[in-house]
Amino acid sequence: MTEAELIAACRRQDRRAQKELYDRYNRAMYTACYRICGDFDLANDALQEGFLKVFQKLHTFRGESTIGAWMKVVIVRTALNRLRRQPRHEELPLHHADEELDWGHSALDVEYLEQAIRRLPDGYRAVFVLIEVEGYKHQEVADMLGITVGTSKSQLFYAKKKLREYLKAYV
Amino acid sequence: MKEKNYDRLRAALDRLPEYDPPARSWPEIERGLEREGESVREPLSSRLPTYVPPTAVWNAVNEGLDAQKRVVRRRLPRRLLAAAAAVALLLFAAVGISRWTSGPRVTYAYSQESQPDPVTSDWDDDEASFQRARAEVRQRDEPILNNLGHELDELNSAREEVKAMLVAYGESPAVIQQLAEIERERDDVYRRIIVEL
Repeated sequence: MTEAELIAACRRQDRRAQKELYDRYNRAMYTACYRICGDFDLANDALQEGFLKVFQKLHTFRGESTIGAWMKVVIVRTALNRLRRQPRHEELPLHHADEELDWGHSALDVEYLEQAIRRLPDGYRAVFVLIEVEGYKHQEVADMLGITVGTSKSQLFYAKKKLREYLKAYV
Repeated sequence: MKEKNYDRLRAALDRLPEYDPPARSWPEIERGLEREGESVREPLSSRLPTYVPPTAVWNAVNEGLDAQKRVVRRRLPRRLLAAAAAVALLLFAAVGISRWTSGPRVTYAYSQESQPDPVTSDWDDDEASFQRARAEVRQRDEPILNNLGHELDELNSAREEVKAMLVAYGESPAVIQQLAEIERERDDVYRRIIVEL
C-alpha cells in the first residue's frame, strides 16, 4: 500500500490502515516523545494522545510536507503539552551571545549524552531536542512553543551550556 | 554563541538510540479510536439494539398495495356515468315527444287480472350494515381494511350519483342496471371487509 493509499484508508477510519500507519512511525514518534518528556511513561501517554490526534486531524493534512513530518509536529506538540511543569523561557542576554562552548576533542559517549539530555530542565530539553535532534528551525520551535525566536535561541544556549557541564562531570 | 568541536556533539547525537513504545500503546490508541467513534460518529439510535419486524407486516403491506391497485381498477369512470345519464335523458325525451305528437287515436280494450303487489325495490335496505362495517373499519385503522373502506366510499359515492339520476330521470333500465352493478360491487367489498374483520 502506498503512503497516499494508506492515508486515504486512514481517513475512511479503516482500522487496519491506522495500525499500519502506527507501525510505520511509532518508533520515531515514541523516541521523540521520550526525548522531549525525559520520561518513558509520559512519552507513552503523549504517544497515545498524539496518535489519536493524528487520526482525528488527518483530514487537515494537505500533503505540503511528508506525512511523517506532519505527524511529528502533531505528536511533538502533544508531548510539549504533556510536560506538566511550565518551562522557563529566558531570553539570551546579549553578552552571552559571544560566549564560546567547546565540546572537546574526544568522542562523546552516547549513553552519557542521553542521560545528560534527560537531566536538562524541561524547557531547555524541549528546545535542545527540537532543534539539535529533531532538526526544527528556531522559528518553527518558537511557533510550537509560543515563544519568540530570541527566546528559543537563549533556551538552546543554556541547554547546551548545562549539557556540557553534565558531560564534563561524567568524564 | 560560538561552538568549538560541534562535530563531536553532532556525531554523538546521530548515534542516539531509538526506542520502541510498549506493546500496550496500540491497544490503548485503538480503544481511544473506538470511544471516539462511538461518541462522535454514531448517534444513540445506531448503538441501541434493532429488531426485525414479523413477516406478517410485509404481508400486510403487500396486500395493502394489491388492494390499492384493485381500487384503481374498480373505480367507476365518470365518463360512463355521464354517458348513462345522457342516454336516460334522451330516452325520457323521446318518450315524451312521441306521446306529445300522437297520431291516430287508438283505443285498447283490456281485462284486469289480479296480480301480487309489485315489490318496490328499496336500494337502502342494507345501508345500516354497510355503515356499521365502515365505522368498524375506521375504528380498526388497519391498512387492508382502510383500503377496502376507501373502495366502499368510492362505490357509495357512485351509487349516490346513480340514485340521483333515478330521481331526476326516472327508472331507466340502463341506469338501474348500472345501479345494480354498483350494488354487486359494494356487496363484494362488504363481504371482504367482513372476512377481514
